[in-house]
Amino acid sequence: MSVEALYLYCVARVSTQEGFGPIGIEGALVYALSHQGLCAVAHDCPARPYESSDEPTVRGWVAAHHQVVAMAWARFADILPCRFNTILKGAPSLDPRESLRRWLERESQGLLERLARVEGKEERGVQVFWDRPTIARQLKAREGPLRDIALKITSLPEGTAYLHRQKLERLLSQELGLEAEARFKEFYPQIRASVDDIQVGRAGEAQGGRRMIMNLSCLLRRGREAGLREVLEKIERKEGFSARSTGPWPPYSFS
Amino acid sequence: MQTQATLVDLLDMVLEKGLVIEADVIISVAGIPLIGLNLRAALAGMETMTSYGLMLDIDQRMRQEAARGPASNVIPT
Repeated sequence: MSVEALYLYCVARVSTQEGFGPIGIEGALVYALSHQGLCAVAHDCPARPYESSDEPTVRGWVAAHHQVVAMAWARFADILPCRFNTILKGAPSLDPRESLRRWLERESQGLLERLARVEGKEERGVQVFWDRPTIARQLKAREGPLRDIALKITSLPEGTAYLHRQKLERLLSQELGLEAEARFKEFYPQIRASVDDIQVGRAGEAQGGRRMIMNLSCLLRRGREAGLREVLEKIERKEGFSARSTGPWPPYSFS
Repeated sequence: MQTQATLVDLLDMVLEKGLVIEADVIISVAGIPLIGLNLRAALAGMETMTSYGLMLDIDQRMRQEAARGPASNVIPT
């Protein structure tokens, strides 16, 4: 049976034709395919993406994808991890493996540049949160319209108080927005100075009172996370703030 | 400071990041909902990946690999 397509896990700067065994998605046989100093880690697959709405199935696929990428990272040091479902289909009447070799040749300069950018580096996810009630309390204690309305409400009859509370909430939301921006502008340069590169991501969902105000992907030299950790610990010492760091990851965000 | 990666971190990484190859030979997945929004929300719990037996300790792995030395069947460039 001829190969229909190739599922790609990552690209590395080595020449090897080894096999890695059945460690791929659904136990697929994973192997390396090289061309002139670059190799792709792949498995043979049908010419269509993996799709499912079954949670355990998707979890298993995603886990397998990452485990192969992690293996390659440990093995080859500098890699460009591929996104899930990066599937290369051969040009018509061409074996996909030959298509892959041609693609590696065509793209070799760009790939080598990207590999050079991540050489000796790792990725860490960084998230900064605040506790909304705590920060709200701090804002209401500051001199200004928020505090004035909050104080006023305590002496008003219920009906009027209700309207003022609505106004307070609107003003509080605005102030929280400005405060979040200000804290982002304060923390970002500190974090940026402790890493080599950074990407700003979308903040995740609120979880109870805890709100994410920063969601970053950081690229840094392997073994140099102490500086980043110091910055995050300093942020955590501020009342109402917490931080989270994940990794080390292979450089998914900087491929 | 929390450091345990969760399933949501893994999904965000593998599904949204990573080398994107623009080429005629790549099968486009645009518009194919691999995982619905509802499913994503359902997975938004904070279970760590280790509780699913998914996550390898990469640090540990790398130390092991480094100790092993270069792979014996790697062809030098």
